[in-house]
Amino acid sequence: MARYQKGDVDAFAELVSRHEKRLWNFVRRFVADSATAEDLLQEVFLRVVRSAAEWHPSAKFSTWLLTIARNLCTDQARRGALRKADSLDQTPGARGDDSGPHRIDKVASPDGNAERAAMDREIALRVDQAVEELPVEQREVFLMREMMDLSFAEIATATGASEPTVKSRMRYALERLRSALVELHDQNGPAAVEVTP
Amino acid sequence: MNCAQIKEQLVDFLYDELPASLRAAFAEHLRGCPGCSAEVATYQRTLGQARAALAGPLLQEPPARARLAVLAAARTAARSARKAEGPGFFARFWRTPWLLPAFGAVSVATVVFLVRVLKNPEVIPGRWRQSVEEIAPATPQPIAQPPTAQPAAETAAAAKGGDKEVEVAGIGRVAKASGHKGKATGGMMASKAEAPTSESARKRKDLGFDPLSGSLRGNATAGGSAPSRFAEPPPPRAAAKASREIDDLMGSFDTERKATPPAPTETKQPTAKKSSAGREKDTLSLDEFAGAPEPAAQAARPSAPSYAPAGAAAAPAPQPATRPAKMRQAEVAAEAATDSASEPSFDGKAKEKADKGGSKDAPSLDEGIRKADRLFAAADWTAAAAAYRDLLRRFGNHKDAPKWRDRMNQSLVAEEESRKLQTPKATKAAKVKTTDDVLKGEK
Repeated sequence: MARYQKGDVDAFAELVSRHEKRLWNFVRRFVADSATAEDLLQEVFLRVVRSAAEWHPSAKFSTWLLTIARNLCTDQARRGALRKADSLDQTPGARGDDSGPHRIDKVASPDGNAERAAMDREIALRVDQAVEELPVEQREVFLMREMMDLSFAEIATATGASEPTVKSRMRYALERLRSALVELHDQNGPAAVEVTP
Repeated sequence: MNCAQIKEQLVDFLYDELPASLRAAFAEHLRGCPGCSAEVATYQRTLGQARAALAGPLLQEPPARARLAVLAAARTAARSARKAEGPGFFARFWRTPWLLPAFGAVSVATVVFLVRVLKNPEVIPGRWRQSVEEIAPATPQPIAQPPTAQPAAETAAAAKGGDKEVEVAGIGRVAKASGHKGKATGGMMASKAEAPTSESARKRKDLGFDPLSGSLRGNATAGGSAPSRFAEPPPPRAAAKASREIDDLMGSFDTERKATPPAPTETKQPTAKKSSAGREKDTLSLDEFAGAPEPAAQAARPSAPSYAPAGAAAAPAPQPATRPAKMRQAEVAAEAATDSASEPSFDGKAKEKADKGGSKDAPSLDEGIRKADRLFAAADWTAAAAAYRDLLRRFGNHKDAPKWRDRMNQSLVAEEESRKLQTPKATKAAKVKTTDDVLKGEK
């Protein structure tokens, strides 16, 4: 970022390459609409470009980037413009740039096991739907932790909430996910709890 | 740790952020509590499945359009930032609209200043002026005014300041001292000269300062020695003082001559000696200001060295302290007769002219002064006395009239003394004869 502040456009391209995938998935999971997510992704980086002179080297770029993205997504959600997320069985081409019969169909089975692939597909559908149905505060905490790999302290900084609050929101988000996947758990049996004393 | 605490610490346990002590207590509780253990297991399964879905089937590549748009915007912003910074300092400087007029004005001002300085270095004070004078030494200077035109005080002050060059005035160059910066004014210098120290007196002497005339002589004065320089000197203080002394002396002498019978030579001798000393100085300065070479001047006045010799006091015979007035008149008549016979070197024509005074071909004031001074300097006492007498008769109201009168008196005294010294015997004989004649006539 410091190089881009001096006019090095290649440095900014490197920044985009490093963070765009995680940021895209965060925004995409947050707003659930690919077109809106694309606009938001573009707006996040444009804000970075416009505010490049304000960035200070002491700040962590990923946190700064996520804060911008989170603010944009939160504003979008609060305006009520949060459209209903595309369902996994939505026909492709109806919105966004998604292609293929179904997004979940793009998931390839690594071992070629059809039954396992079907189960993974079902789990992905449930997770995707459960995340979309999470309240905004819980969703942003869950996505920041799982998609952006931020610590609870960093999430607390980005959201402006306290760290216990962030952890509490995370626990509620996990509880909802568990409720959404409990049937699958029953089908596949409970996972063994690995506890190391 | 109880089951409620297990729920509170569940997130930290799942994300492995529990401290070691709490983690051990947490594990211990799970071993003893199947309900908590099953619940924690479901959370772990849910989290694993969600992670697998998010990192696998749900993970998507960002759209290329957004990336391209963002990079294009970044390039544009960087270009705009460079444009906003604008061109460099020198590029902006050369584009300044007022640069050319300002440069032209400064150039014209510089040229005008240099031309003016080269024409007249006086406009630059101090060291600048000195350097400019070195650059343009051939600047024509006006002919120097007579040295006496500069107040002696200024000259003395310049000499006191250790000046290397003294240029006499009228052209504004008073003194250029190594220690000065050209700021000294005439007034300041005059004030210094009014309280001269022994050092300044010595320097004045070195420079040829003549206290009697208040002027410089010798090479210290610029521009050589033109005869006209002696004309019209302002009476300086030292010269006025000397003149007053001579006045006193001559006045007493005249009074003595007129009111009393001729005093014995011994009584007159100190006066003659004293006045001759002052006249010696005056004569020296006059000689040099008149432009006459020193040896010639000495030769032209043979009587001057013998004016007051050591043996002169003994030469004349002592006369009675009191004599009858008729005897004195007779003596004067005899002296007059002797004058005409014993002055072969007297310039008859000059005397004629001087005696004629107001004739048609009488010399002008300047010529008369010059002539009188020349004769005075040449120790031609008779002619000088006649010339000064002529000047006094014609220009009696002139400011230098007192000086002329002094010099006339000095000339008369010198003439008388020289005549006595040259022909003491003849004079004695004439005086005796005359006295005898008078006595005879009385009888």
